[in-house]
This record gives sequence, C-alpha cells and structure tokens, in this order.
Amino acid sequence: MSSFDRINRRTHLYLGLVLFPWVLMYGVSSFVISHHGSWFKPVNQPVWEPLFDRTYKHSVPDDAISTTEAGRQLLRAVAAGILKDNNLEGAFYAQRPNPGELRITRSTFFDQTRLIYSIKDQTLRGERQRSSWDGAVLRMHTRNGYDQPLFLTKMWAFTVDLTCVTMIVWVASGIIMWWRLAKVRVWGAIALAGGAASFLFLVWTL
Amino acid sequence: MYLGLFLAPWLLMYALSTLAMGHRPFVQSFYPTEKPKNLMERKLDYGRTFDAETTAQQKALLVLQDLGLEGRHTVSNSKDGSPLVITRQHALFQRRIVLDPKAATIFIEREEFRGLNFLERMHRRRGFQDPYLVEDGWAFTVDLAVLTLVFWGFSGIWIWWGIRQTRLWGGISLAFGIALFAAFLALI
Repeated sequence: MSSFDRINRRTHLYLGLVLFPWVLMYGVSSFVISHHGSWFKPVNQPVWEPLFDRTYKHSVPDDAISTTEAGRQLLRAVAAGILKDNNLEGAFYAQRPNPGELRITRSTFFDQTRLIYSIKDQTLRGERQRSSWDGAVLRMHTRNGYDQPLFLTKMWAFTVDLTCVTMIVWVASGIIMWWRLAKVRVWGAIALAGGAASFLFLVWTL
Repeated sequence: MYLGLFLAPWLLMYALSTLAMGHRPFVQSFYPTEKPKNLMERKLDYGRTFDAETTAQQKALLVLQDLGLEGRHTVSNSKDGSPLVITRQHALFQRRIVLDPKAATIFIEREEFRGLNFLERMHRRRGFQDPYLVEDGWAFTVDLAVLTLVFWGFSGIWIWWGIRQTRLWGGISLAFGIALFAAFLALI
C-alpha cells in the first residue's frame, strides 16, 4: 500500500470513529424528522410547567425589536442580560410579540426554559418544557451556527461543520479507495453512475 | 462500498446544504438581494369555471393538472373571487402560479435559481405525505441515506476492530468522540 493510500484510509477511518456519535445522531434524527407525525408522535408538545413568577426590572429600549438587524442584535443583547441575571446563560432565541412583553426561550437538548418579561408590570415569569427523546434528537439536529453565546455552543457549531466537511472527505476518499480496487471497479462504477443518475432524475422531476 | 457510491450525491447535498444553512449570512452576502427574484414565465387565458363548493385545494389540483405541473405545492386561500395563488415546489425552480378568476387568466412566475435556496429545499424535502410517486421515491432515498448513515457508523466500528494495527489510535479516536459528544449533551 502506498503512503497516500495509507493516509487516505486512516483519515477515512479515524474521522469516522471520532464523529461516530454525530453520524448516529444525524441518522436517527433525520429518520425521526422524515416520519414525524406518522410513526413518531408530535414533538415539542406545548406543556409548560411554571417555575417562578416574580417582580423584576430590566431596561428594554423601544428599538429592541427584530424588524431590523440592529434591532434584532439589541433584542438579543437585552435577552442575554436577562438570562445572565437569572443564571440561565446559553443558547436562546428572543421575541417581542408586543411592545410591553419580551419572550426568551433558553434551550438545552433536553428541555426549554421560557422567560416572559412584562415590561409594563415589571414581572418575570419562568416556565419549563421537558423534551421527549425525539424532541431531544430533533434539537441536536437543528442546533447549528455560531450566533449563540458561550464557547461550548460555538464548539458544537464547529463540530457540525467538521461533520459536514468530513462527509465530503468520506465521499472523496471512498471514491479513491474504490478506484484502487480493480476487482470492484465495474460494479462500483455502476453504483456511482446509478446514484448520480437517480439523484439527477429526482431533482429534475420533483 | 456500493451503497456509499450510490448515495454519494445525497451525502454531498446534505453536507453542502448544512454548511450553507449554518453560514447563511455569509452565503447570502454573495447575492445582490435577500430573496431571489420571481421572473415572469408565461401568461395565458384560462376559462375553466369552478363550482361554488370547490375548495382552494381542489382548484389548485385542477389548475396544476391543466398546466401539466402536478406535484408538491401549497395554495393560498382564495375568497370572493380574489386570485388563487399556488406555489409549486419544484426542486430546481419554485413556481408561483396566480389564477385571476375575474380576468380568466393565469400567470406563471419562476423563481430565479440560487444554489442556497436549492440546497435548502432539497435538505428539507422529506416524507411520504404527498400523493405523488416521485415524492415517495425521493422520501425513500432519504430514508435509505439516513439508515445507511447509521449502518456505516456501526460497520465502521466493525471494520476498525478487524484491523489490528489501528486498534489503539482508533480506540482513542472513538473514545474521544464519545466523550466530547457526551460533554456537549451535559453542558449546552
């Protein structure tokens, strides 16, 4: 075996072993998403358990609304401050359904905590929604991007990118490995051409 | 190996679409506008009349059949003779079909092609809920790709264990991956 083939095979193998949990997670979660509502019961049932209801004060500028990018950033900064005050830092999204209310949903893979801040009454209500197992894998599947706070959430986004780049590497290294095995060239070529033709046919006719 | 070669286009599509969606603002910065333009494709007279009890969904099906554009679509609710808007969700070019019953005309707009939108549409396309054979065919290949992904995970471990020279570094790689994933589950 040449040194190139050796590096190619080892890269293919070790990347696969490191990323085994991600591959498993994306496989299972994609299947759940595909059959959501038929084989799997609906996820994220809106059952929110009350956690607390207390007086709270935090300034919210009038222009902290997500109609503009600057307003969205300001809204996120305000929401991040409220989460920090309540020791709930982490991945979140924020909404302002009306000028007097701010809603922040802090998500982990296994549950969601929702904070509803009434700007007018200066009260803060906390509620929690526990996830079913399919809800948890769905959240793992959809968690992506670098716009969430904290180093670890950005690291997760990096592992998602790494998994995608690795999938491209697997395809390229797999094709090289197949080509080097003279015995399987014909059937491999049929499989490769059949896959490409099927994909193009579906894309064209869908 | 053969499954891998057959499913290579699906793997590439999912990898590229996930990267594009994860870096959407960056990818969108290459386009002049946030959303793709709708380009007028054709305008035609359309004289078919519908019974008063025909629903918007039934009208949409008939219109698409008449135009030879059957397939996955959504339809806006048309009331009091207002135009019926059908979005035909083609994989490559999404089409907007507007039936104006008062003017007895149809115009068809085609969304300009954008790689980002195409990849995102393909990434999200799934399930057997539509009554079209080609949609079921796509959904089957999606299931095949994701089940194959799980199979590759386990078969990869089996192959690794069979290669004595790689057991140590393979074991370290697998343990590191599992530990890192478990840390993410616990901490974020």
